[in-house]
Amino acid sequence: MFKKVVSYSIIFILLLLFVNPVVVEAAPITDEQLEDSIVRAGDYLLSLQTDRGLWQADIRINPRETAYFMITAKYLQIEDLEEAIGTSATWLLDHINEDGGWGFFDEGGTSEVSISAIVRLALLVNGVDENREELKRSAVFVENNGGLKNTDIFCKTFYALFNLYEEPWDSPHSKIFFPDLSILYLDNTDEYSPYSSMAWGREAGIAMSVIKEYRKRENLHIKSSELNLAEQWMVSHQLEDGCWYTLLGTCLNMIALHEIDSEKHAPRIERGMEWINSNRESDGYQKRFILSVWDTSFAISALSKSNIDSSADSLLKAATWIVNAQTQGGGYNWSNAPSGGWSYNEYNILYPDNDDTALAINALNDLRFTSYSAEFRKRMAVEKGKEWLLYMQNDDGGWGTFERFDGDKDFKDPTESTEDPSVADITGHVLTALSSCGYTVDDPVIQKCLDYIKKDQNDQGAWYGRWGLCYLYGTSCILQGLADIGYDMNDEFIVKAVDWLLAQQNDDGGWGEHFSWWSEKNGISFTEMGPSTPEQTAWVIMALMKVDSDKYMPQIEEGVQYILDNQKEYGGWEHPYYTVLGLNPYKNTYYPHYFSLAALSDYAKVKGIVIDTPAANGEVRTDKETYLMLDNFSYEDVADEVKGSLKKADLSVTFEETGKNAFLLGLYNGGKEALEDVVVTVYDEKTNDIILTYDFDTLKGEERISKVLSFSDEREDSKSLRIVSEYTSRGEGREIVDRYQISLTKVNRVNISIFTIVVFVVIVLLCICLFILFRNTNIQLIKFAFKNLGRNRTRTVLTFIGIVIGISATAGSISLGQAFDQKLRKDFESFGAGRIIILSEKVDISVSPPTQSFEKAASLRLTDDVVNEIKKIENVKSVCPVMNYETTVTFRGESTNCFIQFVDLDTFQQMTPLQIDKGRILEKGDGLTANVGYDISAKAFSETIEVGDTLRIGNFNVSTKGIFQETDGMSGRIESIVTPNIVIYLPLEMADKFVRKDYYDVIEVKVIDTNKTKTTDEKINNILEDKYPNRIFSTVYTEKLQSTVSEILYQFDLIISLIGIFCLLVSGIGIMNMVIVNMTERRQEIGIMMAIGAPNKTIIKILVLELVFLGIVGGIAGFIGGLFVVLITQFIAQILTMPNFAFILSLSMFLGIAIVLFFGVIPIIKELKKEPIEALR
Amino acid sequence: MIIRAQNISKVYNLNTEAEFFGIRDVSLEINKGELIAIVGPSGAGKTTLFNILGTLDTPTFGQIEIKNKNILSMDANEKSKLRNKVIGFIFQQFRLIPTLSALDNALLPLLVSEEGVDSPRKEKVIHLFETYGLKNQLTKYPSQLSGGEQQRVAIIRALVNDPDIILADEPTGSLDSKMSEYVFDTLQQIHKNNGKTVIYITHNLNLVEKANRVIKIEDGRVISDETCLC
Repeated sequence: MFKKVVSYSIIFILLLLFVNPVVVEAAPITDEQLEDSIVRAGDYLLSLQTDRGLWQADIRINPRETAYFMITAKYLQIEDLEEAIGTSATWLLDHINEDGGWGFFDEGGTSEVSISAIVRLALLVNGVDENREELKRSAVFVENNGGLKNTDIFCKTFYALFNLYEEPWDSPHSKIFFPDLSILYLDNTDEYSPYSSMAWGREAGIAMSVIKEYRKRENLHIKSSELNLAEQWMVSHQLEDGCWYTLLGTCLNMIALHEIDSEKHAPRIERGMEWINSNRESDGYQKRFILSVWDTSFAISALSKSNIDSSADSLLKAATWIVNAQTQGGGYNWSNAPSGGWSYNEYNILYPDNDDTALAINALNDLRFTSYSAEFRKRMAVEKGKEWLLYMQNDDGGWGTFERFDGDKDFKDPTESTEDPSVADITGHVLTALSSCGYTVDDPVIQKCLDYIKKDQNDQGAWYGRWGLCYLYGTSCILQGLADIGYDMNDEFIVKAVDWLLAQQNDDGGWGEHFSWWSEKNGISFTEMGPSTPEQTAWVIMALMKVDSDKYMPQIEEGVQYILDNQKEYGGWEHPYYTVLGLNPYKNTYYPHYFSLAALSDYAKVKGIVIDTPAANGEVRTDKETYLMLDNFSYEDVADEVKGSLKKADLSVTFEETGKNAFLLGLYNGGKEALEDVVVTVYDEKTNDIILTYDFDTLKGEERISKVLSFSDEREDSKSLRIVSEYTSRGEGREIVDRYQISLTKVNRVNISIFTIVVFVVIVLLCICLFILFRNTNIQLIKFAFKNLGRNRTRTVLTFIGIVIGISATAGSISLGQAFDQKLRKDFESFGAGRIIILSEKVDISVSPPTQSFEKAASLRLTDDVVNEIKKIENVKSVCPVMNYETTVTFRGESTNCFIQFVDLDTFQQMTPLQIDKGRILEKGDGLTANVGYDISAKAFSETIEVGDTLRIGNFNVSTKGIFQETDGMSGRIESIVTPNIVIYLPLEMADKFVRKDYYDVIEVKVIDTNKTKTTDEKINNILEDKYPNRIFSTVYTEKLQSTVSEILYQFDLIISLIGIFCLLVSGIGIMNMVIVNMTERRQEIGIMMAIGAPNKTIIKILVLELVFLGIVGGIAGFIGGLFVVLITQFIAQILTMPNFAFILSLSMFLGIAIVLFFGVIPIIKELKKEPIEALR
Repeated sequence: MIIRAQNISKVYNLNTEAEFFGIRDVSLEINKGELIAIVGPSGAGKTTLFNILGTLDTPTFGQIEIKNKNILSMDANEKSKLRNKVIGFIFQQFRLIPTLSALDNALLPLLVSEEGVDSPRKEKVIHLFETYGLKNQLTKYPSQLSGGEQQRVAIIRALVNDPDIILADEPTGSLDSKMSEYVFDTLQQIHKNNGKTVIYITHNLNLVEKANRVIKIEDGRVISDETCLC
C-alpha cells in the first residue's frame, strides 16, 4: 500500500515537474545551506538502510519482465497464479502507449516492437480478448513496425512456444542463442564455448537450445549425453535465491527443465517461480533484479564522505554486510578466477563481477573498524578482492564486466550485449579501488591500463560507459580513477575529456544524458544530451573536483547549485529519467540520493567546510571511535594508544611500545612546508650510547610516516630510552625538536609455568608438615590406617573416584599443554636455520596488539628486480621466489581445493627442508609436472597418488614426478601456516598458465653462514628499504619466529594452568565433601577413639594416613587417566608428540597427595575441636 | 582418694531462656577400691555425672581431681592420656567399632597409646579373651557377636591398659537377665580380684544391692550417698 502511495506521489510530482520546469536562481552557496543539505541527504539515505544494514534500490525497467512472468506462468500452468497474472495484465493494459505499443520505460517511453509484441503475447495467451481495443491497437503497432520478423530472438522464441511462430525452431544454430549443445564439451577458453558469451547470454542460450530440441518433436538428433550435460548445467547454475541470473534466464531455464522432466524438476521450477513472485510489486509490475552490493557500496562511500556523525553505526553494519557478501568460490567464469570477487547481490554466488568488486573495495577502504578482528577480516576481504581484480585485467589493459579475455579479441560493437570487452566505467572504478589499495601510477598494472584508456577515448574526448548513461558516466569514472591513481591530470587527453564534459553542461548548471533510441545505435546518437539529473551532474562535478577543483570551480559550483536546488524537503532527489544501462536502460531509484550526497560532501571538503553538526534527528554520537574510525581519522582519535607524544613546531612524534624491544615511531609534519633531513636518534639513557638512528629524509607537508624500530635484546630488566628528533626547516639550519624519554621494561620469560611453581611450593610445604606429623609414628598405626580403607569399601571407592577424576583432568590438561608446546617448538625448529622469508606485506609476528599503521603505503611487489637485489647481498647462498595459488585439483573423478606453490627449480632443491619419498624432486625442463606433499598423496583423495599419476589442476593435466616425505614442519606460507604436506609444488615457469601475476608472494633466501642470519636479514631490510622506500614488506627467520613462539606459549601455558587449577579446585571441593560425609559417618568411631584415650594427634594421623594412601593410589590412577586424556586428545587432534610420562606421573602423584590433604584435613580438624562427648552422642 | 569432685555443676544453654542444669552442685569423694552404683530416675543427671567423672565432658562450674590431678587444668592431650591409662569405659551400647574385629577393638587402647601393641601385650589380651570365654570370637566382627559377648569384648577393651578406675554406664542395660548377671559378675570379680575402683550406673535393683556404696541422684543433685557396711 505504502509503495503504491509513494509511486503515485512520485508520478504526481513528476507530472508537476513536466508542467513547471524548475526555474534556477543563481544564488551563492552558503556554508549553512550546504551543511543543511548534506545532513538532510545523509539522514534520508540512512533512513533507507534496511534492518540488515544494506541498501536495496528499486530498479525500474520496461514492461518486458512482466510479460515474461505472465507467459512462463501460463506455459508451465502453475497453479494459484491466476490472480497475480490478472493484476499484471491490468498493469500492462494500463501502461499501453497511444500508438498501441509499449515503451522502454516502466511509465511509457517510445514504443518498441519487441517489447510491444511480447507484452501482446502475454495478454493474448492469458485470455485477454483479442478484440479488446488495446490488443487491436497493439496488433496494428507490431504489424506497422515490421511484424514478428523484426522482434528479438526471445520474443520469437516465446511466440514459438505457443505455436504462433515457427522460425526459431527451423533456424540454424547460432553462436549464443540456440547454440549446438556440443559446445558444452569445449574447453572453457574455446572461442565457441558457452563462456565466450556474457554470463546472462549463456544462461539463456543453453536453456533455449534445450527447449528447441524438445519442441522439434521428430528431432532428438542430439546425443542424450549432450542433453544430460545441459541438464546438469542448468541444475547447477540455479542461484541460491532460485533464479538463473536474470528474469529472462529464469523463465527460459524453468521452461527447459519443465520440457526435460516436469516432475523431477518440480522443486527447482517452484523455487524459480518463488523468486519471480517475490520480485513483483503488488500492482503487478515485475522487477528484474536487486543490486544490493552495488547500492550498499555506493551508499557507504557517500556516507563516509559526508562524515555525518550518526552514520558510524550504520556504516559498521553495512560494511560488515559487504564483507560477508563476498563470494567464496571462483564463480562460473571461464578463466578459473580465484575467489574474492563480489557480485551484485548476496545470492548470486556464481557470477562475481569487476564492477561490484571494485565498488566494494572502495567502500571498505573508506572505513576502518576499531575492532582489530573485524578490521583484519575486512582487510583480508579487500586483499582477496584486489587479487581478483588483478587477475581479471584484460590483455588490453582494461577491465570487462564478468570475464577476462586474453590476447587481441576483436569486439565488434561495445553495445553488443553478449560480449564482455573492457569498458571505461568499470576500468575507472577499478583504478579507484586499486589506488585505495596503495597502487600508484608507476605500477606496471596501471601503466598497462593507461594504454587501454587512451585507446578507448573517442574522437570527441569522451569514454563510453556501459553500465550507466553513458558518455558522462564513462568519462567521469575514468577521470576519477586516473586522478585517484595519481596520474598527471594536465595531460593533453585529459584536458580534451574535460573540455568535452564542460561543453555538455546545461544552462541550469547540471548535466544530463538520455537514452534516445535503442535500435539506432550509431555512434553517440544512441544517447543524447538532455535535461539535467542530479546523479549525472554529481558524476561530472566529482570528476571535475578531482581533476582540478580550483580551475573548474565556477562549473563545479553551478553543478552544486543545481543539485542543491533540486533537493526535496525530505532530503532526497527525484526525476523521471532512466540513467542506468544494463542489458536495457533502467532506473535506479537511489542513484540521485547517494551520488548527490557524495558530490556535495566532496564539495564541502574542497571548500574546507567541516560537517560537524549532529544529525537532524538530534542524536549525537560521542562514541564514534569505539565503533569505527572514518577515513579522516587523526592522531587525536587514537590518543589512548599513543603512549607518549611530543610536539613542537610542525613536527609531531608519537610512539608506542609494540613488543619487547620494539616500538612504533610515527612522525607527522603538521605544517605545509617540507621538513628536510629528519633524523630520529634513540639513545640509551644510562650509557648515552646511540642504539639506533633512523633517517626519514624529507617529510613533505602534512605527511605521515611510521616505522617500527627495534633494537637488540640486552640482559637488562628495563631500559630507559631518550628519543631525539632533529630536522632542517626551510633551509634555516638544524633544529632539534625535543627530547623525550621512555622506559621499556623487559619482560622476563619464566620457563616453568606459574602453576608448576605453585604446585611445587605447596608440595614442599605439605611434605614438611607430613614429616613433622609422622616423625614418631609406630608402624602399627600406619597398618591400621591402611586396613581402615578396606573396611568401608563404598566410601573409599567414591572418594577415590573423585580424586582420580580431578587428577586426570588436571594432569591431562597440563601435559597436553606441554605436548602442544613441544610440538610448536619442534615445528619452528624444522622451519630451518639460515632461512629468511620475505613477504610483501606486514606480518605482525608480535603478540602485542597490532600497531596502527598510519600510512597508506603500497606493498612491495616482489618482482625479479627484488630477487636480483637480494642475490647481490653477501652471505646469501640462494634465492627462491615462490608464487602461491589455490585451485581445484581433480584426481580420478574426485575434486578438492589445494594449495599450489610455484617454485623456482634452480634453487628449490637446495632450499626446501623437505625430503623426497618416492620419485624425484622437480628439475629444470620437467615441464608441467608436480611434486606433491605427503598428505596430498596419501589423504587428499580416496586413492593414493603415485609417481606418474596425472592430476587435473585447473584446466591442465599435470603428471606427478615425486612425492615428499611427511614432515612436522612448516614452510613458505607463513601467513596461513600451511604445512608442506598439503602443498602441490609446480615449476615457477608454469605459473603464468594459472596465475596472472608479475610478482611473487614470497621470496625464500638461504644464507651461507647461519650464524650471520640476523645481519643478513638486516642487510636485506636495509637494501629493500633503500631501493623501494615506503613499501610494505617484512622478513621472517627462525630466531625471530622463536621469540614470538615463546611469547605465545607463555600465554598458552598461563591459560592451561588456569584450566588445571580450576579442575583441581572442582575435584578438591568434591573430596572435601566426601571427607565431611565421612566424618559424619565415623563420628561414633572418633568418639570411641577419644573415649579410649586416643590423643587428637593420633586420630589425625590415622585419618590423614588414610587420605594419603588414597591420594597415592588416586595419583597413580590419575596418571593413567591423565595419560589416557592426553593420548585420546592427541589421537583426535593428530598431534604426534609423545607426552612426558615422568612429568605426568610426578605431577599426578603430587596432586593426589596435595589435593587430598588440603581439602581433607580441614574437616578433620574441625571435628576434633569438639568435646569427646559430642562425638559420642 | 582417687576422685574428688567439688561443687561441680553442668549447665546447658548457660544464660539463655533454655538454661538448664544437668547436675547441680555435686560434691563427691571416691576412694580407691570402691564399688559404686549411681542410681536415679531417667534425666536425673547420672550420665552427665558419669561423663564428667570420665573426663569426656567438662563441668561448667566446680573442681574435679583424679588421682590428685586437677582435670580442668589439663589440655586435651593430657586428658586423652588419662583416659587411656587410668580410666576404662564400658557403655550400655557397647560402642565397639563395627569395622574392626573383636581383637582389634580390644587392642585399640594399646594401639593409640604411646607404647603401641607388642606381642607380650597382645598375648595378654588374647589371654583375657580366653578368661572371658571368648577364645573363639577373636576375629569376629561385633555384628557377629551376641550382646553379652560384645559387652565382654568392651570390658576387655576397658581392661587392656590396666586402669585404676572402671566407669560403666548401664553395662547390663541392653542385656537379658542371665547375661546381665554374668557380665556384672565379671565386673565384681575385677573389683575384687584386681582391687579396681568400679563406678556403674544402673536401674537394676539387684545390681544396686551388690554395690558397697550407692549414690542417688535426682534433679541433678545427690540426694543420698550411703556406704553399705557389708
